[in-house]
Amino acid sequence: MDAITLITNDTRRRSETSKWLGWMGALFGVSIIIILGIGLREDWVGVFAPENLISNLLMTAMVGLYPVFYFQPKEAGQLTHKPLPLIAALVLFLSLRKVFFYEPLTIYANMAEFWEEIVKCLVKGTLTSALLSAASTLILFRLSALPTLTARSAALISSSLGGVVMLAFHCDSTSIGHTVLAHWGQGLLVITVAYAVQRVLILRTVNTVLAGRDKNLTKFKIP
Amino acid sequence: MSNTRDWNELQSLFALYIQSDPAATRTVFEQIHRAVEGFFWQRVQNAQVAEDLAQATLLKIHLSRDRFNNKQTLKAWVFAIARNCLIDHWRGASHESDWDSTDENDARQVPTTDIPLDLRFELNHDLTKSLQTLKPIERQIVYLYGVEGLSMAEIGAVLGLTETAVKLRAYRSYKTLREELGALAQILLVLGGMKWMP
Repeated sequence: MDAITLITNDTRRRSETSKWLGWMGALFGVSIIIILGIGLREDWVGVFAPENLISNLLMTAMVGLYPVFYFQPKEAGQLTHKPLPLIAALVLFLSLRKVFFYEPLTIYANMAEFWEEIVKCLVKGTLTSALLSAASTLILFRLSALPTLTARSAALISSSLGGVVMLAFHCDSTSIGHTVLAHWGQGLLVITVAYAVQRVLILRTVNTVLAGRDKNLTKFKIP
Repeated sequence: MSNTRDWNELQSLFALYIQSDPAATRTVFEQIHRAVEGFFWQRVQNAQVAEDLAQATLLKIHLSRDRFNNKQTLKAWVFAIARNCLIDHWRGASHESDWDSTDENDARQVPTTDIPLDLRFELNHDLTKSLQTLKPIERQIVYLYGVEGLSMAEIGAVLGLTETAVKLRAYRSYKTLREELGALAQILLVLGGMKWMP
């Protein structure tokens, strides 16, 4: 297959795939965040307190709706991706809300307990982010065999922020160390792995055009 | 594809491609392919490598499609990507001698319409030799200006230079070429086969 055929097929697929995929992805993401966030808790104390509920739902809406807004063209051919850093900053800020505004109720008996709690949240958050990341990558590569960097970043960042929001529903820790290491750390972990997976998927597509030819092109730099 | 009007039409079609129009996509990429393949052939002097680089450039254009906006010219954007592909190729290959070598018997690189065949070979031979006296960046300027018809500002955008720097290098390049070609330059101008030489 040559590049022109691949690109033409890809464009046809993008034109035929309707935007409902974005909405479905958003709905799936929001459901996963809320179900796992509340469902994995040991108790529901404080979950439905207005300040907690509003903050968590706001974060969920921002993360869930991001892919939908992303696929709204702002002008001929241009996609909106500027809100992403703002959304990421707001979600991260809100995820620290309990640290800033709550009494420091979280007291760890010793460092072992501190790390144990971190591992628990890290695992749960990583699994959630990985699930969201797999779903978003699947949708993204369904829309285009060669998605752009902004589309890939949007999928990666919104998925890992999904893990942060899920943990905001799930965990009441007021420790900044716990929030940064476990709640944010899982996002970093998933972004790194998912980025590598996306690269492999793109290089596999690129190789259908360039494979077995000039060896130097195996160093194809992905823009 | 040196015609500015062609590139303007292509830019309109490119907007349709970005909006996912499959019909426009094929036309756009076929024309871009022709333009960048010539650009690469001029530099690597190897049809297979030029084709591979052209294919890689098309894929990179597709992967960067949302970074293009209509405020920039498509021509400059495409050649900037092509040039980056070429640099990656040189770095990866580490065989700069390949792109500096020339096949002196190949007469494909000079636009020699209306020039008798026997004279065409002679002109190409001398012109190719003269082009080799230029630095790589000067050859790129000569090609982008003379063959692809980019403006000095567009060449500046492609090469990451200011318009003034491009003009200065272009002036030096053409001066060198004139000196190297001597009387031949006059013949080419008379025959109209070197319209690309100011």
